[in-house]
Amino acid sequence: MSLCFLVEGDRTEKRLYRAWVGHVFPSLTQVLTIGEITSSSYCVISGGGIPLYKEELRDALSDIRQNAEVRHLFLCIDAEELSREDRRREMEDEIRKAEIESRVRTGNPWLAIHPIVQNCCVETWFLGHAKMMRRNPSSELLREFKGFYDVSERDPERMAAYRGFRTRAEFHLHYLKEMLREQNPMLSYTKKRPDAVLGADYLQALRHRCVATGHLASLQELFDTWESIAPRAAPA
Amino acid sequence: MKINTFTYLDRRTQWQLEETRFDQLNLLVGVSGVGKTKILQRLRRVCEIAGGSGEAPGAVEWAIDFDHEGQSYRWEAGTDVVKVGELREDATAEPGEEGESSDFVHERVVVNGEVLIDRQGDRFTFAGQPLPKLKKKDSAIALLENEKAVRPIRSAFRRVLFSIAPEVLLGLPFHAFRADEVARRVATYKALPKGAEGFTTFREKLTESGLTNLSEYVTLAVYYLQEAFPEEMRRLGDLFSEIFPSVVSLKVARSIARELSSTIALDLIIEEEGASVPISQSEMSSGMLRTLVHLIEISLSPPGAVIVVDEFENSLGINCMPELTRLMLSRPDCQFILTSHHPYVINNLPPTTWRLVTRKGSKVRVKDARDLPALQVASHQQAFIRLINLPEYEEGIS
Repeated sequence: MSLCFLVEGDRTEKRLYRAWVGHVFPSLTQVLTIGEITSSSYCVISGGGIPLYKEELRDALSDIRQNAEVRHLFLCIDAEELSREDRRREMEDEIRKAEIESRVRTGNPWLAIHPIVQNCCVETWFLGHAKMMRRNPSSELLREFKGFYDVSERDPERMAAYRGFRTRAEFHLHYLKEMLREQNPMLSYTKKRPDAVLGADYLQALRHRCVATGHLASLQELFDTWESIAPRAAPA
Repeated sequence: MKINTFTYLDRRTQWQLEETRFDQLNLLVGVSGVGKTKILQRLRRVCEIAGGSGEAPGAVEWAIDFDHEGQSYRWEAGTDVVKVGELREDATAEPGEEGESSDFVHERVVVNGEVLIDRQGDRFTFAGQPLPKLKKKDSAIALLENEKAVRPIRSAFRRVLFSIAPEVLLGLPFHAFRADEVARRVATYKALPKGAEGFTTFREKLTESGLTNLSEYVTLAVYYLQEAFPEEMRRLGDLFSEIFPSVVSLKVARSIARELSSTIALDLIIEEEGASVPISQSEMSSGMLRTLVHLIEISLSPPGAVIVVDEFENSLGINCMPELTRLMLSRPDCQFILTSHHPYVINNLPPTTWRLVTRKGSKVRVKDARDLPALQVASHQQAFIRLINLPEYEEGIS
């Protein structure tokens, strides 16, 4: 099995997918470029935080055309202020265009392309670890956030932006930082150092949340896809 | 001049630049905070010391290898901190000086493999001959600048041009110059032969006198160009119009209102299509002005110049970058040392020109892109994307 992840974000998503692939598909080896992918390896290409996934997708598919070993391409993009459905439609359109422009099928007819919408961003997913939310937070700010929307009870994907925040993603990031800091002052989360949420236990807690509550549907879609391509390799 | 390698150590802060190799075109890339600007600042300091215009910082060591006019040079030096107020052996402290100063404790200049200057503490030899004690505060290059063998070294360092473009973001200030001196220089430059040879001599003279290295002289340098080489001035204007098509003319005009009887004040002005009033240098947008300064610097640099630009893209719109990048690439007779984060710049300069800056604690290492295996794999991905996905880039600071 060989996987390629094309992510838009700077360091967070790159580190996230590397860590999760390590937990879910431990037999795969990480390589740095699409050209180096073999039948049991993966790579994560980042756009460096520049919202240009359309161009990068075309370029990545051009590389994949020349490497028939690549079987799955995951295009992982934040929904941001769009709905999950709208972002997904946009991504599917771009995938269709890029497939034609890159002529990827002429060299790699077996490639499966999976659009993954991070709704609204990866921090939204991380908010889904219910045990990370204290029953009675000591931080006033976290109490305020929890009062506005308790992510341990309600679906984080449906949470709007709190007053004073310009976007949902900005609020979700802030909420996550507060929630983790309250749990353990040493668990600081930054976009560049997201280590606090990359462990196998954290991933397992998110999987459990998806299954038990039906929340985080966009993350569930990623897990479902992984199960469909390697059912026995994925954790139960 | 062409700088081949540069090494620097600050013993007080332990900031260290490992020996860094430079080619003709060098794009320093790396994550923010890694020390790209600091490298340029330290290089500038060393060049200023050689030119006699800067005091050496205390407790530092450096070595720089360079070629100039067919000769190869190496300059190594080390300084130490001296408390001013303590009586120095050579009594060079000026009255009223306070705080710290620095002395050269060792210095060596090697030309084509032969030692020209050797200084160890108080011992000082020049071309094998011992010299009496000299001021410890100044570099041997500055002290012996009138010696025939040293003159080219000083002249080489004068050819290193640190772009003033970052300084002009808030506008280009007006300066007045002595009218008789300006008239004398105009006459000298006008007397130069026309054509390529004369233009090269003109640019060499401008550089030698430091006119292209300081923001206060930029307008004056363009004025000399306009008076002595009108064809080249037109070419400069055309380059500017290619980037800003609305600009129909570029010229330097007298600013009579700012002049005294013995001075001349100059204003770099542009005329735009449809605008009834010309735009003065003090009114130009920062992007236009910065672009213009880049064009002037590159156009007025003589062959053998080293042009150093920090954050090349600052205040430049994407409409300015292609022409400026092309212009740089059209000057293989100059060396360029640039820093940039901008995808356009990175994508449009060949990866062979990249120098990836990394830092471990206070130790800075600059890696040649040719030594990075992941860049050698063929790919359709943009160069910028390939760069930022390198583990060496990602873990730039450790």
